[in-house]
Amino acid sequence: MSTRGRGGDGVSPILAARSVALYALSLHAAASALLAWTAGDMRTLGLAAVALALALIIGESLGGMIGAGLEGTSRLRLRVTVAAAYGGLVILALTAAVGTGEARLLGQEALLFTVLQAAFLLLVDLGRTHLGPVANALVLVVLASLRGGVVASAAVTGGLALLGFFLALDHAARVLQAYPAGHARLLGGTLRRAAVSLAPVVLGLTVLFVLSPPAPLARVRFPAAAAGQRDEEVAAAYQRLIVLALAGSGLVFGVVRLLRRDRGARSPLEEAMPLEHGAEEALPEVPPLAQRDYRGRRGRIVRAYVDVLARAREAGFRSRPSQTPRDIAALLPAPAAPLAAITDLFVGARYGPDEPSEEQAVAAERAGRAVAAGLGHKNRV
Amino acid sequence: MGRAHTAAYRRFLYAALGFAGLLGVSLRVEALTALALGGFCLLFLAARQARGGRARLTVARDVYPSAFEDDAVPVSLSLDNRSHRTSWLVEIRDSFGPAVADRQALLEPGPLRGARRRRLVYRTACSRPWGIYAVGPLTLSTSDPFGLFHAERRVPDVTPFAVFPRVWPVAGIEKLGARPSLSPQEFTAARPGQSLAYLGVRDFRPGDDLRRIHWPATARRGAPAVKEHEVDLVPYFTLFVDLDRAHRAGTGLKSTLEYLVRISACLVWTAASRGDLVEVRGEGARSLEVPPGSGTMHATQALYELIRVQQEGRLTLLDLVEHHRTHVPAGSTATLLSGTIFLDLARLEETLGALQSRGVRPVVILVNKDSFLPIDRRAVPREQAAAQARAASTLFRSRGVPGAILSADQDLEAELGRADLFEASW
Repeated sequence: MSTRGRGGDGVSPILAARSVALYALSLHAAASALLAWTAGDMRTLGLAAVALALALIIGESLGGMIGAGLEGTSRLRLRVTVAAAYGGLVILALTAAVGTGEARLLGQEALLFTVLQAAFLLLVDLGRTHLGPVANALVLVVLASLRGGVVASAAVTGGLALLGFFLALDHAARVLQAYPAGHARLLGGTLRRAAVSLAPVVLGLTVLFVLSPPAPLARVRFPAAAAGQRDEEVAAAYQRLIVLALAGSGLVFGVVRLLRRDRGARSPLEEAMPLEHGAEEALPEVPPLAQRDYRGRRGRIVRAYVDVLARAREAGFRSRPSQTPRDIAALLPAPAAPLAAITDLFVGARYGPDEPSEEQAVAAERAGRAVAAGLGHKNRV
Repeated sequence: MGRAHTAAYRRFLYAALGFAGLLGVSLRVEALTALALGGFCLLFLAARQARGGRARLTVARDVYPSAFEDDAVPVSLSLDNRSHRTSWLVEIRDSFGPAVADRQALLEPGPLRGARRRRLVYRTACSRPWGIYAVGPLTLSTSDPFGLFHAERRVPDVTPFAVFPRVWPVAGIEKLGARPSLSPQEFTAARPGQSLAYLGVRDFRPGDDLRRIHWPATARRGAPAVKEHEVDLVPYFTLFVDLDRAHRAGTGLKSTLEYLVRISACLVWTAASRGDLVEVRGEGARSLEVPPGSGTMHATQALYELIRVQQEGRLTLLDLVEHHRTHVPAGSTATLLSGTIFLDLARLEETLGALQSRGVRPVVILVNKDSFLPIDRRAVPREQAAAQARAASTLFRSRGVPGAILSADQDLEAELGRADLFEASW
């Protein structure tokens, strides 16, 4: 057996990939909002890409220092205050944008939330989760959605896909961080699993948007001089954005992988143990339950009991051949009264000399159903 | 792993997507409606994947059911994936009672392919004191690829685990007593018997086995002669443990029960490890009866019985010895382990005399309960206890009985390891 604890070298690429996913989500959301409501020239996008990358790198590398200076209660108070203030700001911004329908105001809001995105990335390590940048990215996606057309389609589809990749990598990183360091190689598997799960949703949205391009918010008033960009210009801007995103992602991946070294916290009552892993082996074929020919009422009772055992096995209960029905009843996490009833009836029917009565057969079937329904619902062990 | 952050993401997504959906429907912005729709589809798929991942995973534990205090214990788990899908990031929680931590968290990161089993081992230590503990239940936990939904399954695999007290060799007890055996043994005596040790040649008597005729001597003497062998002796050790509830004192590691069990365990283990037949008797809340036997398995059984005793008996040690005295074989060693020094010395002398008259070698160990924290009755004044100890020592000396008196302030390991343990009280 080999010792393959988790984390350490294994978690490092996943942490870096998570940062890349967060960066890509942030950049995609910010760029979509900027493309939707501002001129969205190369310089603005480039500036956003660099600012977001730098903010994330600084946040990932130095964010722990800010958090270390805060006590638990102070941190909670800060989180609640920031969340309340931010929620109010979002409501206010969306109400104003939708209410006035001013494209210029929406553009300013896109810029404001892009700056806020950089701020959230800067403080990315402050909270337990990365909810701040994720929430702000969704607000940017919502802003871009109001524009309709290719920008909205790309913002929604890409935003959802990148959010999925980020969540998958975040989950894998947090699980690995909670266990002793090791050499788990999960990056490829995590990305594949996320891609497979996201594919139907993303493809579905793409098909929907191709068949029915989304319309902009009806009440938006565009300035006469700038009625918005054409779809070809948006597509070209996205192509440039991909180049910027790749460069930024490479930078974020490299720096975060180099600098980030931390582990997850765990309850003091729980101890994360390193595991020694044996080779994977094929499961032996489970022999089918012997089909004895029990007829009549005796057969009905026996079948009811065998059904209970099969249900218990599905629920994870393993009985040994040496265990008697009463041993099994003592260990099975099921309602006591029907379990005792079916056990007694089974013992009588299987080993007793007399043919059971119709009432007993009915009672056994009823008890069997009750036990099967209650299996695992009562912790009696 | 803490679930708080994943629950936070899930709740946030419910709220944010719901808000986006409402906004999309009310403002007739299709992109927002599609965002909400896509998001909820993702949540639905994630919930299904989490449930599906758990459904066909099973785990079983295999652990040797006993160990000594502070021993490292390997616990084997076999994780079966009975589905056709590959499993990732399977978290397993076990509860190993003798360990300090309540739960042991383990991670099988995967990939564990469908219809496959992986054997896993974690090592923990018996950090808690001797006793019977529970191991289990096991909990399997999986989640969807995004970690938004967790699915847990409790596997009701709870088994008892016995932690035995640490045993130290008791240097003071020698190979004092023995009884004849039919099986060849290492220890022999120069009396006619059945051992492989050759004693001599004698004349043939009717009934002698023809296979034992010594043919050279028969030829020399002209009359049949047979070979004689020495008799085998099996060291035989009987321990009488005082479990009278009147002798309870102290708490935790400094209590008479703790001392009685630890001393008993050390005596049993020392005797068994040198090949004695060991028998243990006591009368607590239930009878402590370990029939005579030898070997490690027998000693383990004796330890298992010892860790389950409770000092709740009503029978005094001398009454206990009285009940079983006639069954103690001649030539063996009988150790009387008392929870108090205040035994009726006249009766003790009578008991020791009766044992000695049957050829049994008695050994007496007295635990001074008055040196422990009193629980339900006052401790005897120190002067009175010292006088009783002196009287007991005088009795041991006068009868030539090895005896020892142990108190709460003595280090048990050091005391039991002393070669002159049974001479000290003289």
